[in-house]
Amino acid sequence: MTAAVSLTELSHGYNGKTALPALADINLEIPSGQFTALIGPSGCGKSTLLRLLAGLLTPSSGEILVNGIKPAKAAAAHQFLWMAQKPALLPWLTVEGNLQLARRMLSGGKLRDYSNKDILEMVGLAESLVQYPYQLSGGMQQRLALARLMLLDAPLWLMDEPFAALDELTREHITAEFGTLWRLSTPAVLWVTHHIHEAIRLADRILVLSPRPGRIIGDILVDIPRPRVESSPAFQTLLVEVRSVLSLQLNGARQ
Amino acid sequence: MSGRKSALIAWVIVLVFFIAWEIGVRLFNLPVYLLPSPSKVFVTLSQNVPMYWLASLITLGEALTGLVLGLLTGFLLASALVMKPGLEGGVITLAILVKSTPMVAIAPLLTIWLGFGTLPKVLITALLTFFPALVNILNGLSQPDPALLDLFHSWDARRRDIFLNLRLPSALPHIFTSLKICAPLAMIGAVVAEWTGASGGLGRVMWLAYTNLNLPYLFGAIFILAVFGVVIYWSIDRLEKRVVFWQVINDVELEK
Repeated sequence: MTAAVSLTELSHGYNGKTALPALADINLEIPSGQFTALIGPSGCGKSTLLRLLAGLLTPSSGEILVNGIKPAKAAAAHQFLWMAQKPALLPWLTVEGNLQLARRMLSGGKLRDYSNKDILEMVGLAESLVQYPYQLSGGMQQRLALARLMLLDAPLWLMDEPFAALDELTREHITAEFGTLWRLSTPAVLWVTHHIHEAIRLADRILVLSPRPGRIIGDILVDIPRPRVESSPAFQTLLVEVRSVLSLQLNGARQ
Repeated sequence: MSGRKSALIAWVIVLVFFIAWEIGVRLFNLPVYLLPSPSKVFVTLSQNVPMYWLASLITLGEALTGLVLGLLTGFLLASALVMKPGLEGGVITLAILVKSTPMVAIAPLLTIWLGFGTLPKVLITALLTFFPALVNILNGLSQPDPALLDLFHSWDARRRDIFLNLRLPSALPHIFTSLKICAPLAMIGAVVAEWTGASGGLGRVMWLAYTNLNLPYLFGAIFILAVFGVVIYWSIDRLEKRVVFWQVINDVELEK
């Protein structure tokens, strides 16, 4: 089966490979259906990696394959969906208008059978059909961004700290809801986050990136059955393990 | 401060200004050929309503046609530059060239070439308004929210779809800004063009009044132009609040 993501000897630098290196020698394969969390210190190239995968940047060297094809072709074939920290909603369109626009833009891909109303019900926005984004709370805005993921049967979701701007309580709620939505079709997910707890709660695998230029220095499997309880010994053990990898790399960077 | 309260303050300031002017003219016994009192100007206005009405219609017609032409040219050029970015250097240089040529030099030329009719006035107004329209609209079309642009690119949206669904609505506030800048410019353009030779219009009235030292007539036209300026600006502002409603809400949120 084709891997959802395949990276070979990937390096990337801004203003050329050597000027400001962001990522170095990344070799990675994410099988289809795997939920992978990507963590690392600020500026380590997590978001750059996601932008490279989405075809928003061209790598300085190495090869990127998304579902077996180059990112630009994968975008044209609607093989992935993108979600970032900002909900990226069109302020002049209503909740339904935003969803409908995404549906129209993705019409070349494998659209699911859900109607707009079905999807908005799934994310708890059925009552807000005719409201505008400015009338929604931050959490509701991100729910609407989530709703766009339900439109398409894409094999890969690229998530760049999608809930980082929300308050703790809302983030916990919406993350749980996201888990439910993900389980409906289990696409591969590459989830950039700063939160170790969130990574363990959600992911099948955690990748740890070193400070700039980002290299993969930790590849940890999360072998805990879902739903995951934070107080469980397995959760705590993993928490310690991820923390130790992170602190090792930070100490290394300081020295 | 509420809108109603600030409007009231503005009216009070205008009223105080007129009263001070009236008192000043009477107190210093200024001759009417130097500075007529506001009451004298209002009497002149009320005694010549048909004449001012016709002149206003001519000037307004020229200004609005020129404004639409200038804005449309600016918009079409800005759109072309966004769709084909390579053209930007050449077109902007040409636009700056047009902008830098003084209108007072071009206006008589156009009158000589095209006569005393409406066309040269419309062209001058369009030339005067097109540059600010081009710069503002280009600015708006080329700077949509980067997060939204990323989203559209991740959808592999076509350039035309990005333009219609993202760039154009994002540029609406800029389009209104250029309208607010260009509408008064259009009035100035039409009046200045009429000064250089015309068969009618407020500029023509002003020119005749000036050559005859009939200052109440001249001030009558100035008053009308000032009122048009305020009404046009206010109308654009109201329309903007309706059309670009999300921007208004954001501004209110920021003020809080």
